Amino acid sequence: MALNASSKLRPKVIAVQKRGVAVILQRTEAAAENGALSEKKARETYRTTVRVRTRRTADSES
Amino acid sequence: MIEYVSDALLAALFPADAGGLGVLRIAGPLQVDATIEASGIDFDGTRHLVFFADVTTYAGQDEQFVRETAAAWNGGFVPAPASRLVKFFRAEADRETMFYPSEWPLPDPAMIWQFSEALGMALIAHAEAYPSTSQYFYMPQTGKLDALYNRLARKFERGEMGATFRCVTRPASDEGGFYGFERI
Repeated sequence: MALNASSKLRPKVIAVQKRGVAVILQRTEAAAENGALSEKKARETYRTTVRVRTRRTADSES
Repeated sequence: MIEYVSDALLAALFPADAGGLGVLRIAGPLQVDATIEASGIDFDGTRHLVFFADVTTYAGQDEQFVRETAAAWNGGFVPAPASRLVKFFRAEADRETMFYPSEWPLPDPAMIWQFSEALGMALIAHAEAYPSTSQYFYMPQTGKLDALYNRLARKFERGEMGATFRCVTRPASDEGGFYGFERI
């Protein structure tokens, strides 16, 4: 069951995420510095048109 | 302390003129190193990075921390080897603002349904490229993100995303937790 769907931040989760993202940024920078990302191009795996759902339906809320 | 994502990775995921207004484009995953991969979601002119990080790597190689967090938030659920923690954020965000959804709204709030599908498609692309990864974890920092992952879990369980995953763990604490998806 999902927890309360509010915009209120969860400070303990953010603390864990900050720690993890620092690792990600550091390792990505290291990969860039050693040339592991040079000249690489990621393969496109999906492309479509953006759509805006203008009306909420029972299915969209499920 | 690194504040922003490397320009080299951004260039690899978001080539000039590949996306833009009215377009949803997903690229990747691209291997960053042995424990981290990254994908890019170009969504109506906004760029989002999706990182797939080895759980232990994400925890700074602190396995005790992983165990304690799992015990506190998810009833002690133990991730499978080679599983990935999925973290997405806006490409332009710095280390601080990336955690605050209010700083990085979608162009239209009603796009959230398609954006959740894009997250699912990015996960499927990773699962196809890395068959040794059997489990994926999302850690929502707000209740709204929690609802988004809960909706994604239902889509996977109904088979609406093509590949099939089942939800193997959900947040079990009021202060936070993980959604875990395992390929079937």
